[in-house]
Amino acid sequence: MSRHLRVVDGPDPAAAAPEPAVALTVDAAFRAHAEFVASVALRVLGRPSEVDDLVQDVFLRVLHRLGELREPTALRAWLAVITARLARRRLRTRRWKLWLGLDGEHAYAQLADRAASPDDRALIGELYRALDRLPVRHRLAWTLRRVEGLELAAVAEACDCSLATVKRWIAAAEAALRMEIDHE
Amino acid sequence: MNERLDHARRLGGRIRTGWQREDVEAQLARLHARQRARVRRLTLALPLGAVAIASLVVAVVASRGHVQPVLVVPLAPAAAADRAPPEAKPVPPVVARVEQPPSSEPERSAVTPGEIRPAPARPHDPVRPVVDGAAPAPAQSSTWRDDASRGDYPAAWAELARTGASTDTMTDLLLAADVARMSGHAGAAVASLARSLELHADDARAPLAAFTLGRVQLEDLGAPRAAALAFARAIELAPEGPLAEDALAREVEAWSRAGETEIARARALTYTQRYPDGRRARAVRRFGGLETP
Repeated sequence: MSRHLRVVDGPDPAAAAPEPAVALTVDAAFRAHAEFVASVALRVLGRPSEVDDLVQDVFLRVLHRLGELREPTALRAWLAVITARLARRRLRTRRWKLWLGLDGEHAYAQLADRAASPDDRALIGELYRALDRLPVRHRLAWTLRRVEGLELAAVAEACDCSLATVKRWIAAAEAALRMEIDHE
Repeated sequence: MNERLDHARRLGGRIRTGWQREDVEAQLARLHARQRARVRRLTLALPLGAVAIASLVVAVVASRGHVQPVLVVPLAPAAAADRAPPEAKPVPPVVARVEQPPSSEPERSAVTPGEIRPAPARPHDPVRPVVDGAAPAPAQSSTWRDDASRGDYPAAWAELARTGASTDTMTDLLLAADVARMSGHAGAAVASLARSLELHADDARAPLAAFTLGRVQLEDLGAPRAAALAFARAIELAPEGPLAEDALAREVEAWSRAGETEIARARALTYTQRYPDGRRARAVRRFGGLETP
């Protein structure tokens, strides 16, 4: 399913477009937002093989709660928060598997398509390998803020912590990543 | 933010799945299938769960003696007049009760049709007084195997040291080795493992015994040469077994630690030929001296 992976220049067309006004049925919500959810999941997890299942889990979670949404235009942000929370669970599972020796190193360079320069491919791989070494909460906070560009309040909600805590986690992740990535 | 990290962050932000419309439709169909499966599971699980919970509650309440569970005994005509009320009967001695047949036919026949009556109390029921001289039998003392199965290895070791392993079966020898290892008696573990290999080399668990022996020698006793021989034995016992790759890698490490660099190198070459994409290739190359500077 994730065979069309690519690093695209320019802004994310889905993110830039105004949120489509969709009737809140599952099918409509899925058609309008599945690609967005999948892309958020991919950027947070870094592994295409885990994206399909996470998208399914997100929509199964919201299935019966779509009618409760007071602001239909807030659906996308809500989906992003749910995606982040479910991704956090997967990241923690992955950490346990790594600890038990059941999870090996992943070839993150494949996140970029062949059109990307070798340097960019290598840098993407380096970034996600460095993220793998961070504590899950730091990784999630940093990714949601710096890569996804979510507001701090949304990041705090996704991470189930206060604004001050999330700022501290982002700063800690930033410092660790700078040590790992900025060695050249 | 530094330039390189900032560039990496921007690259990360441009990652897309690139799902096409057909991909979304396929995922939507899968979502519906999963939703239907979930509904089916819930339909089955809810009644079963309710029954299980109800049974559990009844069992817990009954075991605490708060409520006597009721038993409906059907259709036993006549003889009702012969029955005295249960509470009016003297409590018989435990021993005597034990000697009686488990189901008392006169009592059963004394119930009127459709009558509801308390279920008979069990011997350990706290509402029944204990009769003089009928003290409960002392609990059987636990064996070292029981202690080991509970994970209480020090107690198992103490018991094992006191009584000794009763048999030379593979199971007992492996368990005794575990007890010795986990309670900090690596030397005794080596003895058990060596004996298991001596007596049961054709057992399916023999490669595991040899591998464990190697690990104990290498990690607990610091005897790399003996460890290397044990790992080699594990491979010899099951060359295609699930432990063979790890055993070969650990053998390379053991020879290297023993200072036998030539043997380590030769065995490392064997590993790289046999398992070109092996999980332990990096460590094997390092211990075997195959890494290029």
